[in-house]
Amino acid sequence: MRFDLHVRQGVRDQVGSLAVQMASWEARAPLSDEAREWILQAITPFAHTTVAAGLHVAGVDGSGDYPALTYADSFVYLTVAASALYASDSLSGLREVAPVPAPLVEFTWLSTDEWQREQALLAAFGRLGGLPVDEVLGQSDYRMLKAAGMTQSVEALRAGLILPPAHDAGNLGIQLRTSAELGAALRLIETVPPGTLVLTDGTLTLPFASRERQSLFPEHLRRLCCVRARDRGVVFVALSKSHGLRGEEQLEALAREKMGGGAGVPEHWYLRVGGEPFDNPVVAYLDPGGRLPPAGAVTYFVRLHRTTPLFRLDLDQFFWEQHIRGASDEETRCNEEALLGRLDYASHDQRAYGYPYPIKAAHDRASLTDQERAALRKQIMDAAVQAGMRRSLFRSVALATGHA
Amino acid sequence: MATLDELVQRLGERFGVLAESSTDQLTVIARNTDVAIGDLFLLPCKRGPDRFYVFRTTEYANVLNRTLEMNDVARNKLTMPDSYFAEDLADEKLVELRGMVLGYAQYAAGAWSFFRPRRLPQHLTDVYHVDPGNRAVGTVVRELMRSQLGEEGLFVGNLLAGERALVDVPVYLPPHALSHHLGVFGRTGCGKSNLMMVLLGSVLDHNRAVLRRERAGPALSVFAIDPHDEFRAWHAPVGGADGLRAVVAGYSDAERSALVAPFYYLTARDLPGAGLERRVQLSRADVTPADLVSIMEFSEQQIAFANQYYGDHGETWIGRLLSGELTGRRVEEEVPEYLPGTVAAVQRRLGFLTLGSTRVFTRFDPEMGLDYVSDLPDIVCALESGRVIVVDTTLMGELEQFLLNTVVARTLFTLRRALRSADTPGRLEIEIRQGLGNEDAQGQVGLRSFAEALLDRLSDGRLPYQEGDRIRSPDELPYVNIVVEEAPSVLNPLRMRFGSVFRDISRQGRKFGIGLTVVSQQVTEIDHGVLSQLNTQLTMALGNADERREAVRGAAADLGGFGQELQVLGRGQTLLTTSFRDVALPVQVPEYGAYD
Repeated sequence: MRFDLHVRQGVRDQVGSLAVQMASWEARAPLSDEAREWILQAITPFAHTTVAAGLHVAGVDGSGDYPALTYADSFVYLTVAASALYASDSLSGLREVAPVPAPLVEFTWLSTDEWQREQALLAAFGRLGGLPVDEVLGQSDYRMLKAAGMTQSVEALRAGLILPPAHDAGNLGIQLRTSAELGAALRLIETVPPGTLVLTDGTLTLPFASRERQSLFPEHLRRLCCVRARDRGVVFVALSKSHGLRGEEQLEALAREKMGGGAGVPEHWYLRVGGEPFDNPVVAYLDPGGRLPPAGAVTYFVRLHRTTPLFRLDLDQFFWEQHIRGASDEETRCNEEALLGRLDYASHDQRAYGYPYPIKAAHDRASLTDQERAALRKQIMDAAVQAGMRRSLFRSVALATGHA
Repeated sequence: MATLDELVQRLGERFGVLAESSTDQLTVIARNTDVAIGDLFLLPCKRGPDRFYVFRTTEYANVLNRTLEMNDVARNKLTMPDSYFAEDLADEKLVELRGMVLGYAQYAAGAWSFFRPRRLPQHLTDVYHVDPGNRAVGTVVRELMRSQLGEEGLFVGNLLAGERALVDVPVYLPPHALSHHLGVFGRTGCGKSNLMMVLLGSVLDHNRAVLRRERAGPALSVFAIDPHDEFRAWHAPVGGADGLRAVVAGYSDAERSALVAPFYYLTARDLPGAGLERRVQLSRADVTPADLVSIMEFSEQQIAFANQYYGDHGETWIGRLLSGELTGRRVEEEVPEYLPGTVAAVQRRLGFLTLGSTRVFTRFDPEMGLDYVSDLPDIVCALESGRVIVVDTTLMGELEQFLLNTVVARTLFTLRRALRSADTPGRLEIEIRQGLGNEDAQGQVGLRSFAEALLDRLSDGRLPYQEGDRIRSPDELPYVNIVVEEAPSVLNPLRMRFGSVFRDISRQGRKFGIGLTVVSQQVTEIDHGVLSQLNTQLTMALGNADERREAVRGAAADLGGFGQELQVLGRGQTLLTTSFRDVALPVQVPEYGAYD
């Protein structure tokens, strides 16, 4: 079919209108002097770190195929997560520590039958988390952070879990993949040496914490990771490339102003959101929606290297209070610089300079190519045919009707 | 015998995968592991009968997986501030090994047989590292390469896998290798003496096993020149392992009588008594012109004169010539006249045998009451009875040492030839006398006194050539090996221009069970005729590229893929090539006394 949408006048008018809306949203009121001063004060430089003796740092990432296969009223979801642990090494920077953790691989079959779907999802969550769902719900401190407080029983929490319908690939994908990543992280937390940085790709956001009854399984698992990390003295860090900040350019400009360095992009600095004492004017400016920091977390915005974007880093608030917050501002800053220095060191692999290599390594191991997805899909179908199903059941409707 | 699948179980984790392969070279892609040139690998294969290919790496390279270019990574590492390239357990950093197939073991009729590399393993064959730290892998190698390693005989050392020896994989030379010719090549300090010591120890072990009927004969004899007087006490003077004297001391009286007597150690030093260690003496009456021509430069005229003079005077020729007595020529034949200069030149060459110049060679002049005094008859009898005789030459001049060795070698060769020619005791006596130039009926004196002494020993059985009235064949006698130390001095092409005892032995010795061991720091200096006769080479670290090239050229088995290894051989490491085996074997010779 000939493509001419983009030259139609109606389409062009819509695009123009869209652009005006976007520009007006960006053109915000200038920073108040108070907020400006707060931010300038809050921006803290830290040293480019080239030595980190004794550092252990692990990364986790996940992927999947949502769905890997559909037929009749059924959906098969494939979830993968991988992790890698490294130790600092004077020759190679980071050296992977054996043994390589086995990747988490989960096939989840969901049908339109409600009972089957719920059972299958709960079982999948249990396998991905490495613990029965009830144990995760019981041991996690998510209840404490939830609006309803500690009053909810495990049964009530289980009943309040949001279990999307089988066809809701978007929400199922997010829950399954996040559970897999957190499950892999939890396994690492239980085994790595104390002091290890366990890095996940994401945030510590708890989107349903403000709801009284409903919750997501990954929220419970996320907080369980925080609990177990505190218990074992492991540093559990959620690092997000997509911070969702509205005023990043302004922030960069202020960092440049504070740190000097001419027109170049300033690097090796951070700004904390949450904790004491920098809480409000900064948050109000950066996050007018009030999403930061998430419940039970402290958020940092970190610039490691000029070639990579500003990252958002979430730490468990209780861990932060125990291990990062010092008796004085100076001590707190020292602790923060030590933590971020180690993160900086872990981000000097040339394959992902400015981003922690352990997460990149985990990503490389978890990601699936189109060919791999196709191969796994074919493997599922072949096994199903061998088990007695008809191959015609898996015929692609899209292909048959010329939609693909 | 274990099957392929059972052996694979013992090999542990897969090391790599076969990539490109041709009959010239294999390429293996492997994990980023610490490997070395010379490392061995096993490739189990089921294309055709079950087989294990033995692969040996001759070069390797670091490579990266996927599409990363190594040069880009290096440039980035240099130019990106403080960047690194993290070391993953898998995936990114790999090594690419290239090398050759040593051969393959094939399973048939319940046993593994080893073959030369005429075949290739199948595509993408799994590759297992022969890790010296994993003894189970060593047992697999031993089982697969049994026919190449030998199961008994003369222990040389342990198979070398890269830089380390496989303690469970001993390498043996067959005993009959000593009846052929060996070359031991290596620059100073590379461990030649230790190798010789290990070989001598193995010979003693063999003879003891034969005596105890634990092993089939014949026994072995070695006449070993010891230029540094090491073999007797080895490192005992500095607190280390003791040498052959400790072995001898460990024998029972009966074993000493059967395996050592009358001596095992000869020296030019004065030693009290005439025990198993004693001062050696030979007589001027044991020496022929051919012996001298083998060890020093003579012109054609000088050789002709010396031969004629020896023909005229026989065993007294040296004494007479040194005293300036030029009479007594035969008159019935037309003989050439020799210029005084020629005569004087020969006299000068005999100067090292004058009274006071030699501690080894005794004067012989019956007319003056100087009788025949020589250990040569006993040396010959001992070597014909299966003995190791070590000769300390530290107090001998170079020429004395070479002459002693030459006389012994020539005498044995002469006697074995005589033995081969004789079929009755009477005929044997004639052949021995003829071989020694002693034909009194023809007016030939030759080495008469030595012949008499020898025939005495023949009659009383010390010279074991007869069993009753039956003449023994040389095949029933011990294999005898003569060690030629500092071989370039006597085996160089210039010296051998007009003939040499050693050239004769190198060409014909093995017919009579006599072998040479040519020990040298240089291969290039050895006469090509001799080199071409060496059946076994033990090549150690060599001094330069010319020597390595020559060693590769003259090896009894293909050393083509070992060129680089010759450059990096460490102390005690040797490449064993022998016509008795199909493939060259890298071997670590252990410190003598530091193994069972």
